Amino acid sequence: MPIDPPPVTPAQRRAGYGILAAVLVGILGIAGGVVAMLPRGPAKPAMSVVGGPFRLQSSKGGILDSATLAGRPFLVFFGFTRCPNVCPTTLADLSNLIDDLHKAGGDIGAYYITLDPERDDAAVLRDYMGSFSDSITGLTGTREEIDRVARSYRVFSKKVPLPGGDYTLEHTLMVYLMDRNGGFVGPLDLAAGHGLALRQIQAVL
Amino acid sequence: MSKLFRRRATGSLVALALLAVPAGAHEYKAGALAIAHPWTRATPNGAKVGGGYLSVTNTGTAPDTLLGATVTGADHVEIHSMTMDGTVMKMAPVPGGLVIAPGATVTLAPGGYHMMFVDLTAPLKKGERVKGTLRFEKAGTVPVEFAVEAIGAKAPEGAQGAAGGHDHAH
Repeated sequence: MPIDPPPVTPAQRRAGYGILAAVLVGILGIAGGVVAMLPRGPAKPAMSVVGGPFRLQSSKGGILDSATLAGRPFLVFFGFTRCPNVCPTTLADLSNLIDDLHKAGGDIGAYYITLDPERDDAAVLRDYMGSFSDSITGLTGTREEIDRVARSYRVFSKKVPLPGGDYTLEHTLMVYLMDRNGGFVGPLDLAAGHGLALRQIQAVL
Repeated sequence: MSKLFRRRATGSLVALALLAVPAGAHEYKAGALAIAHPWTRATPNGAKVGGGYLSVTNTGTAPDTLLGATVTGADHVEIHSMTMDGTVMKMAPVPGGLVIAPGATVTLAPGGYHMMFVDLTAPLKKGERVKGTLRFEKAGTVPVEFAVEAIGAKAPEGAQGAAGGHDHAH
C-alpha cells in the first residue's frame, strides 16, 4: 500500500526554497571557479595517453624511427615469436586484412613489436615476418627500449616460467590503430570479421 | 577459481561446436577414449614453437588424464591453458595433466587449452601430417597424427568457422 506523503506546511516549503537557492548559488560558484581556471590563449593539442615515439631495430634492416611515420596512420601490436597460440593467428589475420585493404586501394603499415627481445633479435624477426604480409614489420630493441615502448602503449607483459626452465609470456593482445599524428584511435576489432576492421582503418586513412 | 573454470568450460563447449565435423577428420580409439582430429598449424619461418589441438571424449566410467604428448620434430610438448583477462592473454602450464571425466569431452583449441610443441627443428608445413603420441594415465600411450592446417587456422579445415586459412607464400 503506498503511503500518502504528509501535507507540506508553508514553513517547510520556505525552508525547501532556501535549500534550493543555496544549492544554485553553490553550483554557480563552482562553474565560475572552473571558468577562472581554464587555460587562456590557444588550446593545446590533445595529448594521447596511449602510444608514444619509438626507435627500434627493424626486421627489414636498420632502425625504424616512429618520427618517419608522421602523416600516416599505422597499426601497432605486441607479441613474441615463441608464442604458439594466438600471435601467429593475429599476424595471419592482419596479413589477410591488409591484402583486402590493398584490393580496396588502401594501404597501412603494421608494426609487430616483440616483448621478448632476448630471444627475438632482428635476424629471428626477419625470418619469422617473411611468413606474413610485407606490410607488417617486426621490431626489436634492447630490454630498456622495449620496456619503454610497452609502457607508453600501456602494454602488460609478464614472464611465466615453464617446467623445463624455459618461459613463455602473458601479454596484452590488442592491435592499436594509430592516426596520422601517432594518436591512439582505438583497438582494431579483428574478432568481428574483416569488414569492421577494414572500415575502422579506412576511416582514418 | 570456479569462475575461471566456468569460463574455460564454456570456451570448450563453443570450441567443440566449431569442431563439430571437420572434413577429412580423423579419429582414434584408445580404451574408453575417443580422440578426435588432432591438428596443428603451419609455423612461420624459424618459429621454435607450434600449437597442438584435439578433443578427447571419455566414454567409460572412470576418469582418465592426458599427461603429456610427443611430436616428431619437437624437443618436447607441454600442455598449457590460455585465458583472456580483459585484453591480456594469460598462459599457464597445466600441472598434473588434463582430467577427462567419465562422459566428458575435453577440447584443446586455439584460445583455450592447447599443446605447445617446443623447440621445433623444422617448420610444420600445411597439408602435412606429423606423427606424435598422446600419453594417458589409464589408456596409455596412443600414436596419433596431427594434420597441419594453415598458419592462421582457428579450426581445422572444413570445420565451420575455419576462416583463417592464410597462405602468404613470401
